[in-house]
Amino acid sequence: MRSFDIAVVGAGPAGVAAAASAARLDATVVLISETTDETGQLRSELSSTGAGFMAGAQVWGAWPGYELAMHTAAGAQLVRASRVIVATGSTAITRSFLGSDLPGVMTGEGLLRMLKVHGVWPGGKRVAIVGDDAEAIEQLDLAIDEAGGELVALIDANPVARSTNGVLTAIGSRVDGEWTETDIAALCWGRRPDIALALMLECGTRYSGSLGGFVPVRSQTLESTREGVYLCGDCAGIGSVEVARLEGALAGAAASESLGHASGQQVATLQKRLHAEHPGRILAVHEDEMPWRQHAIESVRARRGS
Amino acid sequence: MPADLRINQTGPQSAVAFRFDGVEMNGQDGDTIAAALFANGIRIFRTMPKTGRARGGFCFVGRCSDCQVIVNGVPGVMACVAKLEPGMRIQTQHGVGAWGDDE
Repeated sequence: MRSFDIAVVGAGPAGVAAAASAARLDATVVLISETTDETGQLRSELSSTGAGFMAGAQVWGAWPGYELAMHTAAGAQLVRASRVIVATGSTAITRSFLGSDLPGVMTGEGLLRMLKVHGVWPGGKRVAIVGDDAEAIEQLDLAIDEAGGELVALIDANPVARSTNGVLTAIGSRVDGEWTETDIAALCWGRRPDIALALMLECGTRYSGSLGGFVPVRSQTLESTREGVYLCGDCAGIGSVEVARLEGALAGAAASESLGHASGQQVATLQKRLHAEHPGRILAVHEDEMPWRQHAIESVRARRGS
Repeated sequence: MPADLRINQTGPQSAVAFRFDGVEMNGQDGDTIAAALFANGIRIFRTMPKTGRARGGFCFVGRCSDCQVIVNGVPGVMACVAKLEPGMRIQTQHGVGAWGDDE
């Protein structure tokens, strides 16, 4: 089994920044990426920092210690690391509706990826956009235009899809009952933090509407409730690329410093910047901020008479 | 119809020959399996184990498993992330598919 000081899971903006900042402080680092996309670019970006890189490795298990189990093209692999930086990003929010499983119904980011990265229309050029994420809709609308497609409908709520030949052929809204013929329905309901790995590591979470759902609780140095597990970027709350990069740099420096690699003023400086430029990113645990939990505990105690 | 589903093609691309359910098709160098199938007008990749309903890709980032196909006798290959290779024998996956299912 290969051992490292720090394993970073996720090679988005946060993960790359974390791996680079930790490796620059002389920690031995491995960055684990689920995809093989942009592998060459990432490898060259990281080569000057000394961080290792594993592409096409999907982490499916994590144990205290820490040990990470992953699925790779070469079979199962285990990696041991004293610190884990979770940078697993976010996932498109999806909802079920009548006909939502028909071929042709897809996430907006999936369609964007097919158009921008793969250069193929996934089934046709007529698109109905479903959802309310204004920013994503604007971006997708532009991409549809550039690729020579046609936006045929915009539905913000209560969609229903139907088929005449096994694949999506029309979409309607249960509000007005109108049907529009379409090849693709792209769902744009925003994103939610991807906290599966954080939960596997038993990190404490809290609900935050502004951060996009249940997110891990973090200290000022982005450490979770599990010692040695750090979290940065979208998996700790939906935000911009700038936030992800900043948090990655902070998590990397803090994890490195916790292993005895002096960071100078870096951790303090990055902490101050995060606090000043992006307030509200860190959710601390305060019992009095969790009235529902307090209430539940009190009512159970009262019932038990203790 | 299929040909014009490609976007912004500049110049000739090197073709990659493969078979889908026994039919000869051509993809392009750099295609994922899903991209190549879409470009050939295919929209149904698999059917579901319990309901038998058709699926044709949903997330395109390797999460949802709606695009699983059988490749060279190996089921459960994510068409949206797996790269197309010359001579691949690709099949629609019914249910969870079976190892060794091949033409």
